[in-house]
Amino acid sequence: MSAIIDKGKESMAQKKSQRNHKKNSASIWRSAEEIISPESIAADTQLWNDGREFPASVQELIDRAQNANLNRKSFLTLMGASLSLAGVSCMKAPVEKIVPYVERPIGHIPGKPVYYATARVTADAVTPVLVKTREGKPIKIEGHEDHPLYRGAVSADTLATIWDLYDPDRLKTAFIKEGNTFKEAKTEEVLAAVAKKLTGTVRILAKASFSPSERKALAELAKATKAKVVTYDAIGALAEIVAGDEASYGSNVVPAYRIDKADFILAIENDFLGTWLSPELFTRQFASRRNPDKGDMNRLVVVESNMTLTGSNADSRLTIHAGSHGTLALALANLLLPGSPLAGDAAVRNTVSGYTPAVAAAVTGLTEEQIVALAEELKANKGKSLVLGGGTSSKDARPGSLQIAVNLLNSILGNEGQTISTKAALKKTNDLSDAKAMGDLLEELNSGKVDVLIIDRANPVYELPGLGMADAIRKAKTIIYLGYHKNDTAVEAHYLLPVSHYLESWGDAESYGYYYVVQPAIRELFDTRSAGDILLALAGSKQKFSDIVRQSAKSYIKGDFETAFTRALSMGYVVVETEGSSPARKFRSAALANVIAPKEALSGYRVSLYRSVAIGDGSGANISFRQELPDPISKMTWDNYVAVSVADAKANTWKMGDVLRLKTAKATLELPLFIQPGLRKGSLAVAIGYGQTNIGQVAAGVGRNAYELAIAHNGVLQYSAIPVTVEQTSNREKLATTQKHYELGVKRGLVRIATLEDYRKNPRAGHEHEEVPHPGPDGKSKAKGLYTPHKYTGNRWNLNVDLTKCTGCSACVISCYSENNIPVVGKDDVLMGREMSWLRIDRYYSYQTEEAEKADPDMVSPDVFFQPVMCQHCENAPCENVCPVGATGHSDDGLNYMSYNRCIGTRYCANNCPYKVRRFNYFEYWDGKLRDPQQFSLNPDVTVRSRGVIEKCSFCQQRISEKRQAAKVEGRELKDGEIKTACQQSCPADAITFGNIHDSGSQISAKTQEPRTYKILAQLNVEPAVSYQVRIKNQGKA
Amino acid sequence: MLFKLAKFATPVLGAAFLAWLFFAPPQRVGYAPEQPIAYSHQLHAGKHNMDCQYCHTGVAESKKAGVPSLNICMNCHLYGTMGYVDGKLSSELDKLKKLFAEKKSPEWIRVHNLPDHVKFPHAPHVKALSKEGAATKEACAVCHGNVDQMVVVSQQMPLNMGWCVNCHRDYRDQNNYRTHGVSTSCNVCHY
Repeated sequence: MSAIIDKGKESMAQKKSQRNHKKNSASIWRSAEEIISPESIAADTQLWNDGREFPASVQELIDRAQNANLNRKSFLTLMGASLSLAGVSCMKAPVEKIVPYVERPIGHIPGKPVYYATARVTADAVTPVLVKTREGKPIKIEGHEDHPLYRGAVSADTLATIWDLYDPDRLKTAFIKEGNTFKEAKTEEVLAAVAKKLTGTVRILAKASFSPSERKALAELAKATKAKVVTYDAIGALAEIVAGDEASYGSNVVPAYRIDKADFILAIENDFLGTWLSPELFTRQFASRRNPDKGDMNRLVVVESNMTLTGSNADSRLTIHAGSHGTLALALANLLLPGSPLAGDAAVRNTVSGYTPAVAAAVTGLTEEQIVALAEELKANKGKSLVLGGGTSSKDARPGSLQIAVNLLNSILGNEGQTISTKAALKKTNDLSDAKAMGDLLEELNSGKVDVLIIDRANPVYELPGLGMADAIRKAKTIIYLGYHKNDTAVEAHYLLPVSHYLESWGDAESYGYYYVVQPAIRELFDTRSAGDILLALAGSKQKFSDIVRQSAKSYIKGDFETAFTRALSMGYVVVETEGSSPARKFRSAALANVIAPKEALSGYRVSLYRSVAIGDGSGANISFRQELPDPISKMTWDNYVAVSVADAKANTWKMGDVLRLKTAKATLELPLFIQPGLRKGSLAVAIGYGQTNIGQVAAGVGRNAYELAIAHNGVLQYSAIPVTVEQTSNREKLATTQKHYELGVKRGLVRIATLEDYRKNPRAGHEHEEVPHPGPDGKSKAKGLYTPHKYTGNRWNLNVDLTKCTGCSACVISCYSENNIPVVGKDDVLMGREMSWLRIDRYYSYQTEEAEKADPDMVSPDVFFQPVMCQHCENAPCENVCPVGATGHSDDGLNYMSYNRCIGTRYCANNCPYKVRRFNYFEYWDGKLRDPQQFSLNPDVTVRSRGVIEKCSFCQQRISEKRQAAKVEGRELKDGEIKTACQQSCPADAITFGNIHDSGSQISAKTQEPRTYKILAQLNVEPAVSYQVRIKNQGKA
Repeated sequence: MLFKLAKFATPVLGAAFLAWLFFAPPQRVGYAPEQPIAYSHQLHAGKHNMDCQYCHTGVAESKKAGVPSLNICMNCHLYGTMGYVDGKLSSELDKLKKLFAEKKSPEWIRVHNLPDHVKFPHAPHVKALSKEGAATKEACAVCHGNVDQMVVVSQQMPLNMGWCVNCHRDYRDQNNYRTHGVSTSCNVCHY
């Protein structure tokens, strides 16, 4: 990567001048505006104190004081009063009470965490998790490390479900609508009342379920009320696969994608690392093959129209026009068909023959050479490659359109049965989503035939505005809603029945060859019931849902049931079918009629809807932690926006935050724009999941509802390449993006990158010319510092992040928030740069060469890199020696610690920190702001910081202490790998290693000695305890 | 000269005294609040010589020693015949039994209370202070005093940072820190 890393044998001076020169040419940058309209970031830099690392905050404080009408006299009065009150409060120690258990449950020792294995079930996937409970209260979700498939992988969204449990805006009891208002009522009573009303024509609208027991309960209800069950899946990820596989193979399973078995992965409009099906599982599988040191390196090529997490992790990313994915897939099929098993199929040949590279190039915007080269690479990896397609942003007007094209490619390449297997697949998926049944239901509703409509945890009013759902369901005489929130659908209902969180209820699930038992970790916090229990109660059944779960488990568990069931509960899962290859299914050429693949370039603006990593489908939008998690690519918080290409921004002189009006035939949506590198002219993208009106205090009014743009074709919703007209309004909105926050004054950035080719030639590629600290007087030894070096006799903790594995998925960020009681600050404070995250993920754009950068002025295909940055726990920490009160210092196990009770908030340390990882607690973000029962989510092992102190990453000191104390009690030494930091535990890519550097046999010692390892800002001689491994991109042979 | 000294020193000393009055950490030695049930450690741990761990079950394995759950009390007082004096149930035990029947816990007043920013784990301390063959209470007495002689539990040691650190210094053994030594780094107790 010559543009970033200079090569050659010139003298130091020459090297230096060359480096300076190159800094100004092909550089690493962090936002598109830096390149296209530097003047538009003037406001931003002004806030950030003209690039002085910290936002100017004084003016705002003055404003607040003036608004409060605080003059000198009243100020002094208040100060005096608060001073004397402070004194009074110190006079007496608080009286605390201890309330012991009446009967202590066996195994529960106060102060010791208890872990339960359970599973989180969403509409797309099942994730095995461990729930950490303290004194009976769940406080954290952890990955399930013993699970053979997931091996501890967990996503940011799943980690955030701990706050779903403690969401104060949850439905806490049943409600009955009287007039226009809801009246609280006991769930038991409402259930009994509602059960009597289920007469006449009853219809049930449900979301697809992985749970055999819930299906049984639903069937029971349907039988008892003679109701028809309609399932739907607004996102459509699974439904698309099933539709595609049904058409192409006649089988309705979702196959197992064995990404870890593929040497070459092609993802077409598919965000499998970010949002598609089980991103955490796919990340684990993908990252398990990113080992340049062991010579085991897969290659990922992504073809997409919007910049997704997967695209930003691609070894090669090809940007296409929105809506041209089908064309590209068929063009590849056309090139690969000769000599393949399907070569003799005339129907296939006739369909694809029209898609020559020239046609595809015109439609997609790629060059013919790129398409041919991609086909060649696929050909070279027959049977060892994997083509993935589908997801929200490629949902076409016909069901399974892209999926069929992708199936064709996999069949041609002989991947079918190898890297895509029907063994240990997702079965019983025939009730996923049925557009026809949905159409029938709409008709019935509109004609007023439906007496009772039961809606089971679905939100059709919000998700399906294109189908006119709101008007339709109002025509039902009685609407019964089962769910977690009083959301946009619930407010239309007559009866609201509160459903328990998965950590409060029994349940089960089946997916990818595993059967999971979902077990409660806490009794219901409120007057809620598990969905299964509600369905059974409505059906008039006397059975308990937990008994149904036991019954279902019997068909999956072998051997003595009680023993095996107890074991299943402690493990959380039962293996039903082990993974492996399967016989290849035969492709049916007739399916190709359903593929939408334009032969001519699409005109005008095309907007694709996508799911964001943080908010997803919007069902968890009421959690502020999800809202404040910066989007991995745009680093945007608290809002959705329309992503526009740099080319369009230039052509229309659009600036970040300008509000655009998007119009389809039926809907109009006004959204602020965000200039996103990696898009082609005409392609737009908007995230769904935002813009809910009723879900709760946090999410209400955040963003706009992008579902409104979706076009319905006979009940099938199109999310991909929706034609829109775009107008610029005169409005502007502030975008709370963190991408420019805590920017370091280092032009070259901190991320180091190299190609696999360069790495093989030189293992130190990427950082071979790393800056080194000034030498001592003899020119060789290290310069002596002012302070005596630390001596370590015991442990010395170090952490390593492998940037080749890291995908930027942000699970670590949420895990850190959850573990360390980090508060969210809200949009206004994010705008002022006060986000509290101890662990930030820096995102860089770059190009491989200067020529590539010059050839791409519109930033259509930049490379993207991620780098998690936390406190580096420097050996010669600049923060330590400026603290006037000794609040931060160095421990004898190599940690840079922070004692909050000493901190007086001078912020000298934050000012002196070269990595900008220290965060100042400006306001009392927790105290008095927590709404019951949010306080239960706090980790009792970590101090809840008050206003006015600096806080930062502690390497999860509480986890170190816990294990160290356990080792002391057991009279042994700590084992390597025993201590896992929260970020490390949750990392689905296994990119983080933590351990004792003084133990020569430890994993961390091995990592630190690898030639790929480097430390950031090494020239400062601060000697950080965190090291990174150079990101290696596998450019392949092409 | 003396007058001048007094003139300037008085307000300074006065201010210092007032500041000390206001800001000095509360002295809790001798703190012996009245508990909802007049439980006597002297009777249980002293007279009957019960081991501390019989009730404080978590002390050797958890951060918290743990106040016994009522079912532990009931081992002797419900199923056994303890607590009857001349065939009459003591009035304090009556309170306990009523609570147990109602499935309620007494709200004990915490005597040894560290600030929230101090993380004190019992288990490693008990491990370090226990001597081979000696009763647990000898280890406990280092910080809690002779509880087996207390009718009403009171705080005996200051339990402030200086007191903790003194002991940590005495036990400090840098060379053997990894297994048994004690550290005085802030992060040992504050995080």
